[in-house]
Amino acid sequence: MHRLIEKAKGEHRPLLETEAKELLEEYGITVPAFRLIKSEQDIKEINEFLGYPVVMKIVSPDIIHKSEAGGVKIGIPDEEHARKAYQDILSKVKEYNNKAQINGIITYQMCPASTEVIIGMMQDPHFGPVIMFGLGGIFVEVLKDISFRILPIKERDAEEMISEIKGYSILKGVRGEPPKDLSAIKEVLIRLSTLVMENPEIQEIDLNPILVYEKGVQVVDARIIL
Amino acid sequence: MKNIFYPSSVAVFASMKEGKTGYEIVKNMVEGGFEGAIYPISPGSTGEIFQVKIYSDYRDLEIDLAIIAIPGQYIPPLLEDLGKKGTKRIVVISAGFSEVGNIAEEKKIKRIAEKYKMRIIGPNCAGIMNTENNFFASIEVRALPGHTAFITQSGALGGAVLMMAEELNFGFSKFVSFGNRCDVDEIDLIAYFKNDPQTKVIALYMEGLIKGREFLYQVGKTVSTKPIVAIKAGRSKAGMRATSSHTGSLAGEDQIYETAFHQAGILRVEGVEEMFDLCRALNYYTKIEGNRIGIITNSGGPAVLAVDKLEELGLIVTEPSAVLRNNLKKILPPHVSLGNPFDLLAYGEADNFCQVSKKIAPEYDAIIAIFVPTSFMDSTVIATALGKIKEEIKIPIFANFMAGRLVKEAIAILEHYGIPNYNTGERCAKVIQKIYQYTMKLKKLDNENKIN
Repeated sequence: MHRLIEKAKGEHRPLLETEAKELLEEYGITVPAFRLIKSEQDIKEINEFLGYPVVMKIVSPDIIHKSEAGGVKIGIPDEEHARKAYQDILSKVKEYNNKAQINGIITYQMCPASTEVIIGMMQDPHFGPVIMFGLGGIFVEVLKDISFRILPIKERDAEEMISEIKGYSILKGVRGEPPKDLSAIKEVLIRLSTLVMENPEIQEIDLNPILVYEKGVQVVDARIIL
Repeated sequence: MKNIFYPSSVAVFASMKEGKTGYEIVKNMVEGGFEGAIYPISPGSTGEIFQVKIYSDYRDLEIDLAIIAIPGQYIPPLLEDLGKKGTKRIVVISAGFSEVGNIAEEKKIKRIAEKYKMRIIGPNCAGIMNTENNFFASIEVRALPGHTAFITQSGALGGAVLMMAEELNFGFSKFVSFGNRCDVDEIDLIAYFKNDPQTKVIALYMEGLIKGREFLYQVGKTVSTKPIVAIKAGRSKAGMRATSSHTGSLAGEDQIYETAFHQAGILRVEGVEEMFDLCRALNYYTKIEGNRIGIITNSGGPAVLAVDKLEELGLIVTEPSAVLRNNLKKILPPHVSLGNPFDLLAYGEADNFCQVSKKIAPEYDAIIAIFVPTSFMDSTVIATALGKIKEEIKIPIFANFMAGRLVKEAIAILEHYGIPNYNTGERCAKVIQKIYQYTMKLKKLDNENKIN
C-alpha cells in the first residue's frame, strides 16, 4: 500500500490536498508547484519557491468545504498580503470549526485562466473503477456532458473519451481560439488509470478543475477519497 | 455445460395434471420430438402422459438432466438425492426464492450444487431449449430452428420473445431462461455459446449484472468470434449509490452499463424488435467495412427517409465518382438518377437493380435496395434477381421491400438468399450502423492485441 494512503487510511480520513497532489505528481500528473505553509515564518519561502500571485487554501482533514469555511484566498499579490491572508484563513477556519485539526495552508502560484476540464474516478459496485471526463463548469453541472470508461484504459480509450463529449469542439478551438493540448489531457487520463489500478484502496477521485492550455495542463484542485 | 443442452435422459419432477407446469413441459418435449428418454415423475401418480409412462419413484432411473417444478421446500432434499445418484445437470423452474426475498432457501440449493458438483439453471426460470436435438424443456412456445442463442434473465419476456419470433419466422439455436442464476449465469452461458457450432449470434436480455468485470472479460474473449446483442432493461433508473465526490454523483447506473457495453463491444439495442432486426442481419453479415452506403430504389420517398436516418447515425450516402457515373449512364435509361440514391424510377426492373448493384459495389461498403411494387413489376422477380447476385457483389446488401402482404412472397425469397429485409429504410439504417460499429470495434480490439 502506498505510504500516503496507508497513513490516511490509518487515520480514517481522505488524502489531504497536499498528499493528493504529491501522489498525482508521483504518477507524472502535473499540479502547480506548492508549499505547505505551517507558520508565518514559512511565508518567506513563497517568493523563493513559487512566486506571486498565489492561492492559499486551508489543509485540514476536518474541513471539507474549504470556501464555505473561509479557508480559501486567491490572487494574493505579495508577501504582505500573504501574511494577512494566512492570519485571516486561520481565524475564519477556527470560527467555523474550532476543533478542526489544521495541517497548514497549501500555497501555489495562481494559474492563468483557461478552459477547464474535470477528470474523476469512482468505484462502481458492478464494474469496479470507472473514470469520467468532462468540460468544467456548466458543461458538467447543467448539461451533464461527460464520458465514462471502465478502467484500466488504453490510449485509444482516452482519445475516444475526449472526442465523444459534445464540447469537444471547444477543446479543438472555436471562434479563432487556438486548440487546447488534447494530448496532455489524454496523458492525465492514462496516468490516472495507472494510479487507480495500482492503488485499489482509492474509492473516488475528483480532479476539478484542470486548466488546459495550448501547451500542458495544471490540476488545480484534487480530492482523493479512500 | 454442453450436456445441459444435449441430455441423454430427462426427468421432469412436477405435477402432471393437465395445465400444470409438468404437463406442459412433457407435452413440449414429446411434441417437439426429443429422442432421449423422458421420465415424468410425480409421486403417487400412475398411467401415461402423451404416451410416456409416469413414474412415482425415480430410484431405479438413470437421470442425466432433471427439470424441477415442485414447491420450493421439497427441492433441497430432492437435489441431495439426485446428487447421490450422480445427476449433475438441473433446471429449477420453481419460483419463490431470492426474487421474493427467500435468500436462505436459494443458498441451500447452491450449497448442494457445490457439494455434488452439479450445474443448476434457475431457480425461477422458464426453462431451456435446443432446436438442434428438438429438446424443449420449457412451458413456452417451442422455438424454431435458427442460429441465434437467446439468454434471458426474465422468463416472461423470454416467452414473449419466442412468440414474437414464431410470428416473424425467426429461429434460435438455443434458448435459456436463467432466472435467479444461483449457479449458471450469463457469463457461463456466453462462454458456452462462444464455442457452440449452432450459434452465430448471442442475444441477451438482462436487468442487472452481479459480476460486472468477469462478464466484461468473458465478453472480450467472445465478441471477436461471435457478436453479442443485448437489451439492458432499467434504462431510466438513476444511480442510487452513496458517493461524496462529484464524479460519483454524475455517474448514473445506465451510463456505466452503456460505457461497459461499448468498451466490451456488445451491441446494445433498445428493445425486442431492434434485437430481432439486428440478429437477423448478423446471421448473414457480421462485417461492414466502411460507412459509405449506396441506395438503389424505384421510389423517391422511402429513399429520402433512409438517407435521413443513415446520416443521423453517422453513415454517409456518398456520391459516386465521375467514372462510375459515366459507366452507369451507359447502361441505364435516360432520366434515371445517376447520383446516390440511385433512383431507377419506373425503370426499376430486375435487370437494372442488378446492374446498378454490381457497378456501384466497388465504391460502397453496403447497399440498401428499396422496392415499392408497381402494377407492372413483380417484387418476387426483383427479389430472386438480387438473391442471385448477392455473392457476386461482395458487400452486404439489405432490402427494404415495402410493404406488408404485397411483398410477403418476395421477402421470403430474399431471406432464402440471405438478404435481410426490413419494412422501413430507417430500420435498415439502424442495423447497418450497428454492424459497422461492431466491425470498427473488432478492428480496434485487434490492433490493441497486436500492440500488446
